[in-house]
Amino acid sequence: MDITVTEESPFRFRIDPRGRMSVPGVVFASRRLLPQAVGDRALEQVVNVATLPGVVRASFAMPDVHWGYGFPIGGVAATDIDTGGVISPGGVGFDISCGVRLLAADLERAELAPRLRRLMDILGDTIPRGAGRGGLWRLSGRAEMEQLLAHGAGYAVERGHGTPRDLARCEDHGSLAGADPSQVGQRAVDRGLEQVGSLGSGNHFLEVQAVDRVYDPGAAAAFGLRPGQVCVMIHCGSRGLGHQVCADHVRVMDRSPYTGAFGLPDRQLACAPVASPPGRAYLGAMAAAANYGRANRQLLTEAARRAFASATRAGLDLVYDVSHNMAKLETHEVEGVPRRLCVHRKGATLALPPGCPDLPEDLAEAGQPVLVPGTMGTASYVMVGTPGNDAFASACHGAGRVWSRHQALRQVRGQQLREELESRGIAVRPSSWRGLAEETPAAYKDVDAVVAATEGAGLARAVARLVPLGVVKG
Amino acid sequence: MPPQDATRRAGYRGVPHTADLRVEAWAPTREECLAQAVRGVLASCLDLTGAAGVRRREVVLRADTDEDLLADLLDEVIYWLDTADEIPVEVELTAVPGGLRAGLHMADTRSLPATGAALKAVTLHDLRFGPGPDGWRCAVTLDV
Repeated sequence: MDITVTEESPFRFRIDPRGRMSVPGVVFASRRLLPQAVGDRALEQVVNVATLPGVVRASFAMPDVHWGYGFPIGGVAATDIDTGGVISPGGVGFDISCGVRLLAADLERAELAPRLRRLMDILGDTIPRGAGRGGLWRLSGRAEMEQLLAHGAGYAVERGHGTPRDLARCEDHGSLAGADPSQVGQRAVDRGLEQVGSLGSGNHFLEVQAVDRVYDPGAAAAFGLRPGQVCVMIHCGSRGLGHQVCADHVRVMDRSPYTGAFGLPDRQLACAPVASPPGRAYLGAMAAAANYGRANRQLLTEAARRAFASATRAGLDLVYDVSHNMAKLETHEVEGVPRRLCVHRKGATLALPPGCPDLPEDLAEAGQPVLVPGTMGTASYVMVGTPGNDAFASACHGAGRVWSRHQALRQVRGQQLREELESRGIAVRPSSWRGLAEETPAAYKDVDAVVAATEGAGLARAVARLVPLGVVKG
Repeated sequence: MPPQDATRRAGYRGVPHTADLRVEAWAPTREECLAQAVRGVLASCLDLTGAAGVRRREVVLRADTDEDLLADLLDEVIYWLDTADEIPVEVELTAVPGGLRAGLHMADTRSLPATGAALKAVTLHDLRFGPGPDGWRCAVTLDV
């Protein structure tokens, strides 16, 4: 597909509507970050999303956008619920509520140095990861699972796996409203019963990091961050339960006459009106899976706290927990009129500006923390939402891949990568050499450039840069 | 074009995809092609050397199209991998009205070294499966 992009401003490019596109595509990026520059086909997917029924304003791509399936990774699109707008499970992704959680330790980088190896050994031994069964919390059966699906991190805290303050620092207080566990199939429940409190694999990780630089001392102080401080970043999602929920509901929508009549450009864009039985069923199941994802990160938090207590005696306070694979029902002004929208963020983070009533009281003045994991060899960022974001208050979710896993394996050996990282003082606990090589920092865009483009495009502002000290790879 | 070795009648290969896994498989018959796809997908994440079947499971898959049968079969593989730490090392497929009967010889994965990212789900993105002049070919993208 030949796609022409027009530069509207240094960090904003436009794809004019053509064919069945009902809105333009808008790509927030620098010229160098444009997916076309590296032969990535994500812009075709930006165009495809612009054909979804009821889509409003634009099909947006964040600076870390790359080729996915159905939606691009880094895609944002909103549909108008009251005029037949659709929900597409492919616009959320298989890993529902995949997200990032940042914890801040009452510990300085220099204080950790002599204990880092021991801490990483404990984390490497106790954080479940990889394929299949094995989680920190084995649920007793469907009844208990339904409690967890209904209440998310709140249920985990109620059962003693964390503190009420943790919930105050989670998006939606750790529990997305509207969860309907009855729409989660038995196969999804089977897959989830023994995976609560596990990383999974691929690009998921638990990293020990240090605050390298603070750009906005006021916001950093509100978030509980200071230069030199040790942090923990956890990136994972809803494991097999979420994957199965997506697969099951995509199949239902793919077979429906609605999807058939519409002739979508990609089967993975299968969709249904938000206000239809299949649309409501998916949203209820999606919220339940999102709550599983939040509970999963809550359990991993507890394990990280135990490891820190044992190796350093330091505590860990939750900075924030954000999901970057979600659809949410939100009200935004479109052409001057408040509209009820279904906002799909697939590989994109909600970025609420200061003063937003949905924020916890102690973050209202600063704005919402936007967590941007980079790579295990470079850096990650904490950003903050800013006013005037016309991508429905959305920002980037990471560095964004540029290399396929194949290319990474051709260029890098896992053992070599570990040696290189260790020589730079970064302790690595991989789950497989090949898995480590696939996630080589060189496979990703330059996270500093992605953050600069995010800031330049007015989506969010940098607050702090974090550097890795130790990595437990999923 | 048959990939790599034109004389090979059945096989599989991985195809680059930015973040996920795309596998192509080919074989003289539909059932053999499906078995090759299963092998190709599993070989992306586990070292199958020495994997031996220790139990047999049988499932019947029904779908309207061959593409959907492929997706359903791979879904089945991921389900057992996630819930029982098992993978099929041999797949016997028999056509039944409206679908397939699959006899799966399952091996335990806990003793198999992981060699890549775990499988999450089968996508419908550019899912292909059908007969051609050189036999059957399929292509599938999986989220990993």
